[in-house]
Amino acid sequence: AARRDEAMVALSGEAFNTLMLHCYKHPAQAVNGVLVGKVEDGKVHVVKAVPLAHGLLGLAPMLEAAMLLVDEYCATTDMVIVGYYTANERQNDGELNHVARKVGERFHSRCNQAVVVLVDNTNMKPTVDNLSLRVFALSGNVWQPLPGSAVKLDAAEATLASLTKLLSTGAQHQLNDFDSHLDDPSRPWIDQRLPNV
Amino acid sequence: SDMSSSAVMATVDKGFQDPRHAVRVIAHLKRNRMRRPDLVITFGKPLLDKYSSSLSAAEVYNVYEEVFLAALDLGDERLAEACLTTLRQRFPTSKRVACLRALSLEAQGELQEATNLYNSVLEEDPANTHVMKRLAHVRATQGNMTGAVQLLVTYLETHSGDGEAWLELAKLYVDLAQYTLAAFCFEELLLISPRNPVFHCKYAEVLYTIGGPAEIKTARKYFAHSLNMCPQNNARALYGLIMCCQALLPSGGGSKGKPIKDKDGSTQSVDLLEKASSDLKALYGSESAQAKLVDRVLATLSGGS
Repeated sequence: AARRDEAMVALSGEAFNTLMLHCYKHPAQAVNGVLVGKVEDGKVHVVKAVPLAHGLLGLAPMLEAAMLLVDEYCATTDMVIVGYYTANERQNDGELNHVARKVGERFHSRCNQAVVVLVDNTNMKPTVDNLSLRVFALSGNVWQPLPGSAVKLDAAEATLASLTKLLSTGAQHQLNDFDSHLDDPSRPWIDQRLPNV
Repeated sequence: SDMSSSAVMATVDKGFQDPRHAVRVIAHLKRNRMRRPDLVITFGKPLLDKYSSSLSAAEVYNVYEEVFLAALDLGDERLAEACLTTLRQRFPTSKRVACLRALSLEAQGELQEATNLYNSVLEEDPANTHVMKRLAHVRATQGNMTGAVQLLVTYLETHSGDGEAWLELAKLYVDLAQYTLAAFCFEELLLISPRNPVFHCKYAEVLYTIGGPAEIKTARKYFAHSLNMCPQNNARALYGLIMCCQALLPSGGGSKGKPIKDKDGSTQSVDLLEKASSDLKALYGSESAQAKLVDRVLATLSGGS
């Protein structure tokens, strides 16, 4: 079992940058996505972030279709769905909305350590000491925020440097979510990789 | 159209080339409601700094307005102020410029001042629909979603043909999880634009979200309508149809050889599911990884878990 002072959630650089780019692509809208990875000894390793939607997050059919596809994708790997990420539309909105809770609860019923990651809109310049994320875990019926020390970013300095580089090349405009994939199914979605910078 | 959009977008990679091209890009972004403040600045700023003499007066001030809006989007207060100052000097009594000033106040978080300015414009110009809708936005920005809803509902009582406002209201209702009210908004949108396949699809999505066999059956119908109107490249409606059919069919599928009936006895869902599945796989290209993924998902749905 994880010690109290060990990180309980570790994010890969690719996952972190993907969800950040998703936010930067749609700065005036809410966004969401699924977190995929592994659970080892009670610690969650988020390997991949799969962007889902922007704008209207609360409609069920495409959300459910996307989850079926992500589940099936996971079945061909050794990964499972380990969480959900979202960013609210308004800068000062730091609450988990009904979609986040519902989806989070569904993931939690299949994976006890599933987390909900809420992007901190008030700080869009993450640093090693402030990743600009709040990570929630379900404790009983309540989503409790984990302390900052419980969340780690793999190779944080290098990851943040590559995020800066990605943003400077406008990489966010190339990022797809399920919404944009539905507009043009030739756009890669689940298996998209960020460009090498 | 999407074709011309990608054609124009392909020309922006090299940045500013000449003033006429820059004007075309900015006009294209505005016409297609593409929110790309980075591009507006890339193309607009050189126009204003160096090439304003090669533009007509109308063009120049349009560019000032677009660059102002882009600067607000990017948080470039100095640039926004500079553009606004120019516009105010040229058009000192303009209500349109007053609204830009109010928008600037919104961006700075001065929401009460913005509201006051909007209200004063409204006093002089009580039929100003832009201001009425902006006031609703300010409430939403303040986190007062029910207040925003109230203003839009009042507005729509006298402007029931304003599709943009119905869409805004629908979005607020979805965010508030008030799906039946969101459905009502889409019904109004369908009255205004009965041939719009996107609205048929969105309406279906809201109905599916409400749930229950009657709603999902109606959703299935509207996804099918959307496909009738737009049979090519309509992945959203295909997925929607598939989700509705699998929700209406008894779980676990039927035994081999026996046609599977809906819980109400009809075979419509099984027929539609077959058609939608094969159309979706064809859309992906039947040998593609994506099509195979869809195949496996469909197999787990019909075979039970």
